[in-house]
Amino acid sequence: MGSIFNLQQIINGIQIGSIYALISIGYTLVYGIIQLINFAHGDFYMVGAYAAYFAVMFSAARKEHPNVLIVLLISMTAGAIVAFLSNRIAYRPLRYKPRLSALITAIGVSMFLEYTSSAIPAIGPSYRAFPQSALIPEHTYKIGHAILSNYQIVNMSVAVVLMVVLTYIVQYTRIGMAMRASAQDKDAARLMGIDIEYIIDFTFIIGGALAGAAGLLTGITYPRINPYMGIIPGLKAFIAAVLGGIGSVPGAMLGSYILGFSEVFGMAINSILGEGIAYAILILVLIFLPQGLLGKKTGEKV
Amino acid sequence: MQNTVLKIDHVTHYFGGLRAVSDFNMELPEGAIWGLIGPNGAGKTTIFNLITGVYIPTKGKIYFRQERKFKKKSKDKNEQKGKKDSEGKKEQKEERFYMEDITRYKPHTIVSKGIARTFQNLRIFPNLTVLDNIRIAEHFRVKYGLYDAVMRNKKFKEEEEKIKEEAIKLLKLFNLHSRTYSLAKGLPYGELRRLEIARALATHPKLLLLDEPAAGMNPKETQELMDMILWIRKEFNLTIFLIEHHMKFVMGICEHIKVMDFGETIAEGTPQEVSNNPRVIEAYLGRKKYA
Ligand SMILES: Nc1ncnc2c1ncn2[C@@H]1O[C@H](COP(=O)(O)OP(=O)(O)OP(=O)(O)O)[C@@H](O)[C@H]1O
Ligand SMILES: [Mg+2]
Repeated sequence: MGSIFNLQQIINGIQIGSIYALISIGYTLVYGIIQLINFAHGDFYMVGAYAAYFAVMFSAARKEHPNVLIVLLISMTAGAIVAFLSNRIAYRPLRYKPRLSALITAIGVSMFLEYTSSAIPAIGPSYRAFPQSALIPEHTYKIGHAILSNYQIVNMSVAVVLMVVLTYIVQYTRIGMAMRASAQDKDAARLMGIDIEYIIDFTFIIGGALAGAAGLLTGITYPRINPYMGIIPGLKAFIAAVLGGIGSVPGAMLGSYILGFSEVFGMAINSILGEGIAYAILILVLIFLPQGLLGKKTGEKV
Repeated sequence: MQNTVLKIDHVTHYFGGLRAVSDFNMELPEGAIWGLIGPNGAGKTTIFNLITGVYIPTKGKIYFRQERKFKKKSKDKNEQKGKKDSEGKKEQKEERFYMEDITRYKPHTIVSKGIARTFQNLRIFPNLTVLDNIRIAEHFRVKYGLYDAVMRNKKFKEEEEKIKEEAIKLLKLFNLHSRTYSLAKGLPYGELRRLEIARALATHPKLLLLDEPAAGMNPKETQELMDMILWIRKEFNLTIFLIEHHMKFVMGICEHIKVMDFGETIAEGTPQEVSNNPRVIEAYLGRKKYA
């Protein structure tokens, strides 16, 4: 057992889990309010990674040292903007149409973002190396047999800070209260004076910003990016959201860390098993725990 | 002469091929309590949904009385000085209010104009506290901006404190203050009904729409509700329009009743007039056989 459940695996599990968590929060928030599985969400994460890439390259070209916080802000803004525009252009016109229309549109938005990015010469379809060391020079620390890099520290701490801020917004601010009310009963919320479209815009912006941040953090820790990089993490973050109970923010976080750990430990046993474990979890959850770990029973709508 | 608060003008509404409301007309006087009755599926709730902007009527218009907001008081005074004769003053007075066409407004805009409602099936936010259920209804009235909220400055804190005080005052009036911090989903049915009315009042309405407020209540609770409705009308200066199946309730509280069946208005008048109307009796008795 010692060889599988060691400190290194725990660090790796937290780190992957953190990335999934930042992405899956956006899935779960959007689903909570408009019951849309936004398949383009993984692509917001890709946009965040590219925004960070260009920001770092731009400063490097000017022989300046990029500020990590500014780059983080840029990738979050980029993620927020594509999320906002996707909602306004693609999803909002379909708001009161059958849910399947919006779902198919989400797949369309996803492909649009991926193929358009590949078609832009500055991005292109192939992998690019993320200039992580231009952003932060690497340091590694030895803790017993485990190796911890400062990239991982940045990754985990940024993720945790963002999750704390997000939780604060959702739980303790007026707009967060309006988001929760809208998720519980959209029609009643509208009839209590809440501008639901404003809340939906805000939800996309928050979700997009977190995905954008995850894009940067991925660039730092796994420094290879391409326009399709959002597909698999997006899918896995979605699985994490389902595992935690889609619509629940703490559920999305919990599901993400469980998935992250399962993958890392599974990988330690057998690399193919590790890759497949997320999908196995999805199937098991759908069969045995369709509401997820922290999900609520869906109330009937009248 | 009494002012009309709400005017519904030849409103017809279709759901696909189904005519749920046909040619509905109404001029609701300020301060009145009016009732809307009719068998199941008559189109009563649809009328509420049309007034509150959930649906836009296929045909017809809805108007709501608004007070004109004068930009500057000084300008107002000057105008009055200019028109010294009594007729001029009268004109001024009439101009203060106007009937605003709210037909195509969004629900949240209509709430901000002063129309609040409760629902036939309770629509309380179950996972918010009782206090937050009230605070949410005061949402659109907050006066601080995003900047103040982010900075958590004095303006923000004062405003939030004021809202909270107001909410707690409301909870006390409705005898719910011992539940202030409980999640709404834990409350018994009767308290949820009261909370829903309190929440509607928190939006500071001029017109309150109640959709079957006495549903599921026993005779004692129903009597208490009647007293409460009369009391809130006075206390909050309200005009009330309510839907109810409970005949004793409607007859006991409403000054004027409209009766619908299959989307048509089949009768209206005082409780006395309506209860003696043969078409009303037929609509009710005819349907009871199947109920
Ligand atoms: N969103 C909708 N889509 C389609 N049909 C609807 C919709 N809402 C209501 N209807 C139909 O319109 C008619 C009127 O419904 P409404 O809810 O207004 O009746 P009601 O008078 O309130 O009845 P009840 O006493 O049962 O509450 C019914 O036939 C109902 O099935
Ligand atoms: Mg009804």
